[in-house]
Amino acid sequence: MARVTVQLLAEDARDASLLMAQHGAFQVEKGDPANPGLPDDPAAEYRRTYASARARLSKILNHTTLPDRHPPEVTDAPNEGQLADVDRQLGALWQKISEREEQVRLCREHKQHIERQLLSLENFQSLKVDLGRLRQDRTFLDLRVGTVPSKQYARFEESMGLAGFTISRFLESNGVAHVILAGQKGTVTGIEPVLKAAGWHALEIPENFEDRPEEIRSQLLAKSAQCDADCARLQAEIRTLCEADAGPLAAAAAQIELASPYAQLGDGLRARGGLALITGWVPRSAVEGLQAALESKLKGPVLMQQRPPLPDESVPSVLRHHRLLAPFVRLVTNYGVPRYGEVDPTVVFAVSFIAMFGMMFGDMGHGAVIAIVALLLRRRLSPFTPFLIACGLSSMVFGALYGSVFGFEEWVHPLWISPLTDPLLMLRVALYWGIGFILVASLLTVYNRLSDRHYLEALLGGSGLAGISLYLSLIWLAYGWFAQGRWSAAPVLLAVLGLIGVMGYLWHENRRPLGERILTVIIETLETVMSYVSGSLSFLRVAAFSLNHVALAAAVFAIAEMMNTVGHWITIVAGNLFILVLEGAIVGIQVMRLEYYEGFSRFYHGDGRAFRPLRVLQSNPRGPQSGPIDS
Amino acid sequence: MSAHSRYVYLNTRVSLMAAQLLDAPQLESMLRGRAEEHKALLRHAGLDDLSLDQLHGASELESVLMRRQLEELNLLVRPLTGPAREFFAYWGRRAEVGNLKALIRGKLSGQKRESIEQHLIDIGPYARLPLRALLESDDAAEMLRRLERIPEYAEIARQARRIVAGGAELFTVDSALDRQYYAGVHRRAQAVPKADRMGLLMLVGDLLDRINLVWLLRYRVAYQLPPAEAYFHLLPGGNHLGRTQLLRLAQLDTVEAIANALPEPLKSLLAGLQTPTEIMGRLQVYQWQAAGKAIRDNRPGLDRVFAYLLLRERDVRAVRGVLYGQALQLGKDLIADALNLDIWSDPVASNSAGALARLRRKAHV
Repeated sequence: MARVTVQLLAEDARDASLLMAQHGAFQVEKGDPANPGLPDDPAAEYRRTYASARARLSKILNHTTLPDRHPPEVTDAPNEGQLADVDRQLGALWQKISEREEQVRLCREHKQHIERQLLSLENFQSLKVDLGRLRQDRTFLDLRVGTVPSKQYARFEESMGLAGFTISRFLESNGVAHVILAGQKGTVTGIEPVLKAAGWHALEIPENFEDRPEEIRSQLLAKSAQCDADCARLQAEIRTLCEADAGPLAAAAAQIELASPYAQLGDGLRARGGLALITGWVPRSAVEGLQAALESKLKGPVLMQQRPPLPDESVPSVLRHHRLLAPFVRLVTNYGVPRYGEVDPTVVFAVSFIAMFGMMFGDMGHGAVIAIVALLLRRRLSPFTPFLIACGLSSMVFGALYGSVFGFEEWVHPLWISPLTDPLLMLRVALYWGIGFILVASLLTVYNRLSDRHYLEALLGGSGLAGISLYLSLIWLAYGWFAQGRWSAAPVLLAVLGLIGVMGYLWHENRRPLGERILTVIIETLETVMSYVSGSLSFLRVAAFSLNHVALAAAVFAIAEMMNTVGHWITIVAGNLFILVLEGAIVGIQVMRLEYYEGFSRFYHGDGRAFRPLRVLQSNPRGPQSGPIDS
Repeated sequence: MSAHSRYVYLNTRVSLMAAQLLDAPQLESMLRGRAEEHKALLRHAGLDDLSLDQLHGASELESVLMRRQLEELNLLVRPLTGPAREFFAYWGRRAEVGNLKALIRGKLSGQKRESIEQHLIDIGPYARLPLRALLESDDAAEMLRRLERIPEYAEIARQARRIVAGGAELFTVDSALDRQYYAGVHRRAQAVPKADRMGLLMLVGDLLDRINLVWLLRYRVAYQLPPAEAYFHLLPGGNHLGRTQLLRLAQLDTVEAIANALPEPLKSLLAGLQTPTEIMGRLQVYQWQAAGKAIRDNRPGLDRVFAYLLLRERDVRAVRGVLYGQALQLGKDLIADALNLDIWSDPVASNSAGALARLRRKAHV
């Protein structure tokens, strides 16, 4: 990665940003704090206009879809004036849409009010109340009918009590309380603000309601239907507005897309007078290409300087993998992004994950089901389809080695061994696998520490060469003891040397008082040894699950044997489904645990940041979403 | 499991964090002492990397201070689950109320987006409001439509719309937002399992008492609202100011009358005070003292966590005041006055809080 500073004419900065985005290998980065460069931010107003235009476009696109292709004649990033024109144009269209959205809201509010009125009137009708009395204007009595939100009712009732009003709730519906208020007219002030604060909606009682209830009801229903019709008409108007402006809208979207790189430069662009500086990161392999593109396509002169990253500088890491590895990249970055210079563990992770899954869940039938289901659900599972297919295939390969098909051990002759016939061999193989895994992880640690220039840690750290030699010597000693019943001198010497190295390093790194230092070194050394031992033993689960798989299948068959023919096959199918779903999920989790805990935690910092190159940001290509007025 | 074993992590954490709380003499030294003392005290408070020079401006400093408090909150809520966690997460959202007020006020008065943004505080993952989408609204009507789509704020949006229509005062929205937020705090404290909520409810009750009394004085004495309207804006549920007391107090319209009609211990606590400012100051200090007692009592529980958060907020505000004041080159006496440093160790509030804490402890035992 190279830290790049591009010096150019301020008027070329916009085109340069577009070229950089099209090149796809430039990440904007603020200039060095120690050397801030030029003082002005020439794109501040441009950014504001861009943000406004983009927001307006996004709101409009909630109501319409852009045509598939943008007008081909637009290829240059718009200047500030052109972008402001686009923003104004979108603002004018949005204003029209927004006005109609507001009218739709009012329509719906009105309809809601009519529905409440209908509800109240129906209630009054069933109570045989004299509605004429409620409607009548009286000299001394202030009588009102209306609604308040139910949540406010208790406080509203108490407040009305303070104002000398009595209140009666006659109906409760959809979080709204329908009430009658009564108080002495003219003697008490102050209920209007309370009514407003409480969200009071007065309900009108139409004249002649008692005499002609059905007619009044029909009138209210007609009003409600009119509200629906108005809403539909307004929404149609919005669609028509968008369709009428489809061409200019597409052109505006294209302009906004082309403006996006310049707007993204942020603090990475500084200027003074006619000179501008753009700073950022470029992969070393892409520097020359970018320089050539800028020099050939910009009108004015351009000077590009580069330097390697400084020791303590935060440098982005480029993660480039084949698209089939995309799900594994996700799982790796879920733990963390590799620090710059750190080994990207994606390939190691992918290979070991697939292998361990197969070993623990080896069954040709189950593997085939996983692969086929992944293939059938590829649209839904994307991008995890390759991940599941790989796991299924691995399961099939190990199933062939174990001779297992849907738990049946006798259908196919094992190419290697049926796990239950020699469990000790399985455990030994798992242990060797674990030792190999930990050694690879430790060697990657050494590489990473060397890459960080932490040479002493790489040599003498618990996960460094000293730690590895200690680990190997312990394995050697254990092997000698179990195989020959004795320890030879060479591994003892190697263990002592490793131990001295690890303890010496811990002593060197520790700055605590003497007693505490001794204690810390002893405990941390013990922890290093225990971590190697427990980590290796942890891999025994790889064998345990392969045995578990066979044992579970045997349990299913034993239950099936107790059934008649139909019950037998139902049990076999249900049991296999149980194994497939439950054991499959557990195996997946266990493999992930081994990868993250026994692997990544040893060698992988994962505290880096991903390289995010400048790009042309696409306008919302998805078309209408749930519009603000539809929800 | 006992509170001791359940809250062993929290108790230790709070004890460690409480060591960085400041007292009035320390703030005085920060304000009046030499630069080294100033730096040493900022370090003591865990705020040593702050200075106005490094930050872009006031709202940036606010956001940084808020983030610092939220980071501490994150550490504290880590071992909590269920309603207790929900209570503290909700407490972490209190700046959102201020954000929404600024947003509504800004949009109703037709301010530009940049100008509104200056008043907003970033509360990171605690944020629930789609602030960006609301800011992107072209006008107040559009913003209120968007706000209305969030069930929690639908009624607030309608209230704000009444202001646009000229039927209500701006303060009614602020009042509705505050009331809704503190009602949420009270509801969430009550949802905490019974064994854990005793001390917490006491502190929340003190908070509600203070807020209600301040609001009551503001509405009845300063704004001279009628009793019904003033009462409607209050939030019954405090320790000493329940529904009945507030209904009675809302009918009074002078500071003296309200102070004399208060129930004990508030009456003794506020005896002799003449102005709303004095009353607010003493109630605030009383609450701090009560929180301080909860921390010093060393009884493990959620109340210690809440007490720490209250006191930490006090310190952060004070440090912010000192930094602002110094950046604006204000006189030291003026800054001290603005921070009310003279009442931080108000003996009346301290004694009342101490006496009440003893009473509560006895009741608890």
